[in-house]
Amino acid sequence: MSKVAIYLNFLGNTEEAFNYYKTVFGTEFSTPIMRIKDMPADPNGPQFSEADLNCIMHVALPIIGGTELMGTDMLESMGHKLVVGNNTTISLQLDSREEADVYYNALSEGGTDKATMREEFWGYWGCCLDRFGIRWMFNVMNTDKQPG
Amino acid sequence: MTFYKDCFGGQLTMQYLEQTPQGKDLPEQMRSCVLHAMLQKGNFLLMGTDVIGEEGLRKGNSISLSINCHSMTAAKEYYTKLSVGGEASHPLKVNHWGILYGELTDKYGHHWILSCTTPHKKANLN
Repeated sequence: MSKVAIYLNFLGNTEEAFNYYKTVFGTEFSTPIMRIKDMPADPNGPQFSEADLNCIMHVALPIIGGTELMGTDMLESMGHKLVVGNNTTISLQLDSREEADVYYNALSEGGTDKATMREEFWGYWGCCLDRFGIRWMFNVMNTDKQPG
Repeated sequence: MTFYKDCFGGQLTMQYLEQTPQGKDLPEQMRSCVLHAMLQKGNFLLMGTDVIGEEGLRKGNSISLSINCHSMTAAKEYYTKLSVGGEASHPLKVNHWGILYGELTDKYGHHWILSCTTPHKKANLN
């Protein structure tokens, strides 16, 4: 069966961000963290600095409903540039307002662009840009407005 | 969202601004905008909206959607369809770990990662 995951990029602080998401969702990494230095040696490939070698090549964390958050460090030395946009948001569809408040409070702490949790005509809703530059939306549908 | 439906299949539903409680009071050109679109295929739910803040739309590169496909055929099909009019930044090829892997940016500026564990790799894992 095909499986969808959300893949995040950070500029050298993937590990800090994922340790933070681990506390927010109360889960453990799916596999050990893979660093640049764990890649197979390639004599024809780029030469990395000590700092780059310690950067994250791949990390995976299950969040809700079996969905995984994965991440990797962009490397400035490789000319990578991180652009924080507003065209992609991770939406958490939650069962209760209490649960939505817990996730909103945890992810919006130190963040910006907040729309605090509020009543909308379809349900209880809010969003924020977290302190690492990732956008989240929190939604609890009114039971009488559930599609289908 | 119609483009993504063409790429993945699934069920697409759209709710327009004119269908909201204040919809009738909105200017004509806003009423036909999509408040909420949902494309559902199994557990995959992709949502979209025309409603953006005053700051306008800024295309970022910090979030990609990654699909680990059940077959190489599916991975190739999604890659081909999603990259039409976009940028095939990292065409599908089998990497060091025996995984078919590719990246692309679609014509709307969204980033996708497509992968599939190849039969060769599966044989090694068994």
